[in-house]
Amino acid sequence: MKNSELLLEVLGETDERFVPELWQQRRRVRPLLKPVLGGLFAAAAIALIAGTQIYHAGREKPLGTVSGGQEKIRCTQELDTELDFGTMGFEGLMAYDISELDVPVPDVSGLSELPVYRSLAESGADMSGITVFLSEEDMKKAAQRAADLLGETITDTDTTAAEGGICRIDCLCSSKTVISVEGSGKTTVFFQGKELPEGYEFTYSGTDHEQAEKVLEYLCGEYGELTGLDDPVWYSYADRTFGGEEDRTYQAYEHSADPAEELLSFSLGGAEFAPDDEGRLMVIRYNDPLQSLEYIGHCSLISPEQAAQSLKAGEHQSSVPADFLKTGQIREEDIARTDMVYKISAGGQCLPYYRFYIELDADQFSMAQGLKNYGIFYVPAVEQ
Amino acid sequence: MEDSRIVELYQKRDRSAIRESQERYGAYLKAIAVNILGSAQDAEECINDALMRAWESIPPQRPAKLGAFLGRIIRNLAIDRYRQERALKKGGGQTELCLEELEGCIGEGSSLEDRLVLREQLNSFLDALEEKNRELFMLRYWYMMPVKEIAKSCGQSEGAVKMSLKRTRDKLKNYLEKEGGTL
Repeated sequence: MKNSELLLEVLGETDERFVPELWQQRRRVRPLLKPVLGGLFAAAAIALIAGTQIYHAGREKPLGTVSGGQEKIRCTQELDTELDFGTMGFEGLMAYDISELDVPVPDVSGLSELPVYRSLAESGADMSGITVFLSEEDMKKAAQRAADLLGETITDTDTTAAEGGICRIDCLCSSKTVISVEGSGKTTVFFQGKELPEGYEFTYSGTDHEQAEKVLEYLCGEYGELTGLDDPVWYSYADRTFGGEEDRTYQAYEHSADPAEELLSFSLGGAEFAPDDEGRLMVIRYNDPLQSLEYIGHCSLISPEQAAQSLKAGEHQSSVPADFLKTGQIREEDIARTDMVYKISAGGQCLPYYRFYIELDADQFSMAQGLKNYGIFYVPAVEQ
Repeated sequence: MEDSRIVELYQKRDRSAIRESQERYGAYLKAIAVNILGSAQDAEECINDALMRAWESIPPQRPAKLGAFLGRIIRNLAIDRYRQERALKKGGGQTELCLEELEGCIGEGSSLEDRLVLREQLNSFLDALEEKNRELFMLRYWYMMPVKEIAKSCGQSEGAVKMSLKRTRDKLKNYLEKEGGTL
């Protein structure tokens, strides 16, 4: 082999972070990312928080504990509201009507302010969104806890390192169930297809709303301790593939008397359940986002009307290419829905954003007749 | 379908993982293979091979970035295929041009047998490069994208892209010379 051939070949083995993410530019026509409707993560610690929005958890804290007791303060620092959409595709959902995407979003309409936080989790060096926060010991404890609750025995443990420490452990159990704990605390259990009792319909397509609610009631009850959901609000919705087939999602978050806590759980907490092709339980994913959040202070909120004005003026953040808009800009009639979620900014701050579902130009996509494509746009909800 | 769910399907040995991967990354993988081979038909065959290779690799591997993982596989497969076809004096795409350019950069007078060392040297070199120049360099020599296409996607003239690539190759040559006699 010539040296130049070897050089060309070995260039292909260089670190992934040096390789430009071209798939993001080339695959623009498919909404590859679903919005986090209610979040993928659990809120195990929310139930432990006693009557305050003040949270703090440091590296030295055992998993699932928080410390509170601080007074509410005004946030005086300038917030970094820039979002990072650094993955592929754009964030959107397809449905025949926006009502198909109805979910029980916590009502925060009466609030004039909300707490903001700083994320203590650090991105890994491989730029893949991997975070390092928990120690290896804490990750092992979390995996062992999950194994104990599932009646599993861990037989082998594998660790993955990133700059800054171990970023994930994978524990193989005797029944071939795999428990993965990431550095951020997110935990995923991969089953070898766990049968549900007779009478439950648990599929991506073909399960209706009522059946999905029934499945979620069962799963939230069966795995309540594992996911940390003491008082779960479960919900399911089915967006569509380009061909119009349903792609159902099964999620839950923790109910709270405090709307701010509930919104945080809805946005960044909760649990997700996924079936395999035979209707068996394949995956449970949950997390405790609060363990890596540090309270900064409370911020005043702008109104939905103010946010919509900003949106229409082009002052928004989105992964949706502008040429997918019907007229190149957002008009009032394009806004199909507005709600609010917490998101973590590129600068590591966790704050509320108005989330707008914008109906996109259907002619840009090869979709089933009558199908609509809703792109997601964000406007920071905090007054600065 | 999201990456994490596709990877879960691979982990579960669910063959729909292959279909979902193709749906999501088919166009991206084809672009890489066409750049290297210059033939859409050969590229399609490479995609099939790449997806089967992914099927064989996950598990035990669990890629954090499925796109990058598949991209690397198809790049390797397409280069292998390029070698076979060159032996038959067929095709070539951008590969021949890239090799010629890199020949000027690296020469042929010495052994480059230690792949690990070379990979580390390249990682260090790329790490130190200015981001903009690194991106141009990788578009050309990782993706083997035509200069014209790079220029269009980066909003630069072809001449400016060629000049940047030339400067980066010169830097690489100096770097490798300095780093241990690989030339």
